[in-house]
Amino acid sequence: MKTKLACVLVLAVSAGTAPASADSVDDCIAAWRQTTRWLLQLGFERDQARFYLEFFAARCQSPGEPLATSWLVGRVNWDRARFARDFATGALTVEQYAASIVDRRRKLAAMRADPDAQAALVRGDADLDLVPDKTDSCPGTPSWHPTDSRGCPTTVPRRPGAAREERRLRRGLATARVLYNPSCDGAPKPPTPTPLAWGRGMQTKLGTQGFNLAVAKVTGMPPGCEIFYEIEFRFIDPNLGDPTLPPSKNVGVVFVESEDLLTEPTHAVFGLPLGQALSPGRTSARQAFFAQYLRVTWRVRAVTGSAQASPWSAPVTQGPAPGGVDG
Amino acid sequence: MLHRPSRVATLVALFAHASILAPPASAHNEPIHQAMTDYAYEVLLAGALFSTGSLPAGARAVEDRLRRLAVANPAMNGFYADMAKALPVLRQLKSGLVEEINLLGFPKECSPFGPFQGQPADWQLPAGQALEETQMGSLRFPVTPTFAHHGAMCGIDEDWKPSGALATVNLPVGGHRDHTGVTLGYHAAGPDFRLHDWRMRSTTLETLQDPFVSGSIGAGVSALVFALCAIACGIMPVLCPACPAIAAGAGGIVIDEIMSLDAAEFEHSDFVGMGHHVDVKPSPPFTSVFDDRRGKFAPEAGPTGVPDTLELMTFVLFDLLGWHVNFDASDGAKNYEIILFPGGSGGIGGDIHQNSINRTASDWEPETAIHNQFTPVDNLARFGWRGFVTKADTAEAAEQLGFSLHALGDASSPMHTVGTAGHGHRPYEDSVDMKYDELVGSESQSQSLVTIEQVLARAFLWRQLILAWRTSTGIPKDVPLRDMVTLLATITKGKADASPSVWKSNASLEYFFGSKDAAKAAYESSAMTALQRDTVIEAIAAKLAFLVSTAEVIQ
Repeated sequence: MKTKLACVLVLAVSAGTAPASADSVDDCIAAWRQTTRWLLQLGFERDQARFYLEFFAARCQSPGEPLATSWLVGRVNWDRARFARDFATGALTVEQYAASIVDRRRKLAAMRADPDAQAALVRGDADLDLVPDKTDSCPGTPSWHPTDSRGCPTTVPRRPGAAREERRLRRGLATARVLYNPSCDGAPKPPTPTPLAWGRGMQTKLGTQGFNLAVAKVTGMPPGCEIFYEIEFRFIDPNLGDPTLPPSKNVGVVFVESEDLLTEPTHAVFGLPLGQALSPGRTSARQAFFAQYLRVTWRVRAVTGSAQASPWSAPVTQGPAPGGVDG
Repeated sequence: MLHRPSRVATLVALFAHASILAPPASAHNEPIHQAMTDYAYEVLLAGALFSTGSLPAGARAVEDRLRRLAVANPAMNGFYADMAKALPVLRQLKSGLVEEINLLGFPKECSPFGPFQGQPADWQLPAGQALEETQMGSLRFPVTPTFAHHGAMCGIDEDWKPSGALATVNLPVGGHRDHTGVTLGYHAAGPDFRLHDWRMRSTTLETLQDPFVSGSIGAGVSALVFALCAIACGIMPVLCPACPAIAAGAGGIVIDEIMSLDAAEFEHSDFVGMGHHVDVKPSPPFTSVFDDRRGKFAPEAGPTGVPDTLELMTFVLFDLLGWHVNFDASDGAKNYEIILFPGGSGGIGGDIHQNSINRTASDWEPETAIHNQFTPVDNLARFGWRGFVTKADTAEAAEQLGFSLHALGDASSPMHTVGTAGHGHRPYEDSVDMKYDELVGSESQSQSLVTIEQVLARAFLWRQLILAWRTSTGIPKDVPLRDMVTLLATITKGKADASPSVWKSNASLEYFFGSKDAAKAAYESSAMTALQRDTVIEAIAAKLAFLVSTAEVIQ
């Protein structure tokens, strides 16, 4: 009932929506966002509200199209958003999600050229499979499931290696993290630091010795917005004394600016101390510097807590600095 | 329209990181675009000096190789002569470099470790002459790709020298080497910085109106936020309390400012590369509606037209957040359509190549952007070329030429030839970037000489293609850039298909959800290195032939 009421309301009100410029498209969408809030206040479900917003947006973006076409486009965008959410949260598998994308693309293309089907869709699609009830021979199909033109389920295509990729993706999503630091809101994109030199040296601040990396220092961030230096190494020229070493080895490490061993304004030095337990990446890099490889190609970029990253520096291939690098 | 980039950028970047937007945008990193272009110029310089008998005495090994090629194929002498004619034209191009200053209004200081010893670079320009108006051949310093972008620090590449044996050709004269090549390369990297190419608006309700990332993140401390949780909070705030991973300190925040976000117009570096693909899979069965070759089209991405799992994550990103192309705010939507006249559609263009079908806002905006067919990168090449030809004597010309050079670089990346964000895209290109010196033999005299010879031999063929096109069309003052980019992409894809282990969906997933190092290691084999070397050399060769032919057009 609520849906039908909103439908009538929406169709009546949106008929007059006719933005004339880019700004009015945006103003139009912003205005409908307010209307959607109102629908939420009336007790509409969030999913329903999202649908109406997608419909309004379609009206704003293509005001010259028939209402039923906007309805169709809004429906497809809404479907896609739901399927994306369900995939991200694990309710749909890789294969199911891929099938849903293909299905909606095909149906959208077919219905765009069919005003009767569009009108029928506005009148009703109870199982949300984008086949109007009027022509749906298989009511109750899961919304994401691909169907034929009569609304009956078709096979979900198999994808080679899908199970393995599914596991990898879920494990990754469950453990992946992003940096966030509210102090970096409004911070400029950091400039690109550059690799300067690497070599053995003192680490006075730590009271240790080890391998040190000198990079050009990034400054100019707001207080509290730390800079992270992401460094990638590709070690080359393996030590001939160890025939088991591969010809090259890739290692990535990240240092935060507070780990700078110096207080110089222009450059920072980060250390890989000998004889201490380090993270796996730092341990791997230290091993490679220590005895495994004679030279390294390396590059660096700066990342902030607003997940802004500078471009990578140009890679530099270097042996150890002749005089070492002290920190 | 009020544009509030900071918080929008944070929002976009956070979701981008969480949901893997990076791959569709990124092509070769900027230094490789610069390096490949520079290499092409340095070889052109060698050919030019060989032709005029003025190679330095120390370049005997290079000279021998060039002579050997000419003995085997006497027509090479004509090519060398053409290089000699092109050389001064290229050197006289205005640099287009805009000197960068720091916040205090001074030129930026350079590294204390390098030749500048912590001081700004002194360009020693004649009084009253702007750096951007200075001819490339007169520039005292080689710039980095980030010069004048993103607040680059020094902006001078203090370690630069021509690759391998080419360093014996381009010797310092008057206190500096010829920096034309590295400057052209700087401009070749430029299109990656064009944030206005593709700008989005969001229709998403939940993300903009509800608490986004709640929890307890202490102000001033970077915290790690679970990616999935960030997504879930954005779309289903009810899930936020169930996100224990967000708890990481004291002091709760709810980013209620997002309530006031301007969702209408935002940009991000990860959107730029959407227009840097040219999909050369057979069409049909694959659809290309607006150009003879489409650009990125995610629903049919990949070597067989089936998006891989990482690509699916880009659908998640765009569809969840309701990201649509903002047509009026996106330069790319207009610039990279090649049409006969404003408002015109289709037909054959001045380069005897199929033009675009014109698209309006109503074509670009209704569906979320990931479902659009983006413009192909050969159009980007042609767009820049037209600008270059009409502005050849201005300081803007070099930037315009950069589009064409960039497109040739992108066409040498297999993943750009099938429009995919996955299938190993990022680890493959990272691998090329890190191996570049090895691929062209920068540090091995013998391998460097082999590379120079291969570049020249292949460039000769590209040059013949251009000359044949000019003859057959009767258009002597043009270059068939769209055909060149498409052909180079076709060659790249052919080589990639013949090397069965290029398309690695697993490596893409591993790169973003596991170990970057392991993902890149997948491209460390000798077979992969051979393919990467092959495609890089082909791109350099195409650029060399293009540069020679470019000079003829503006002479």
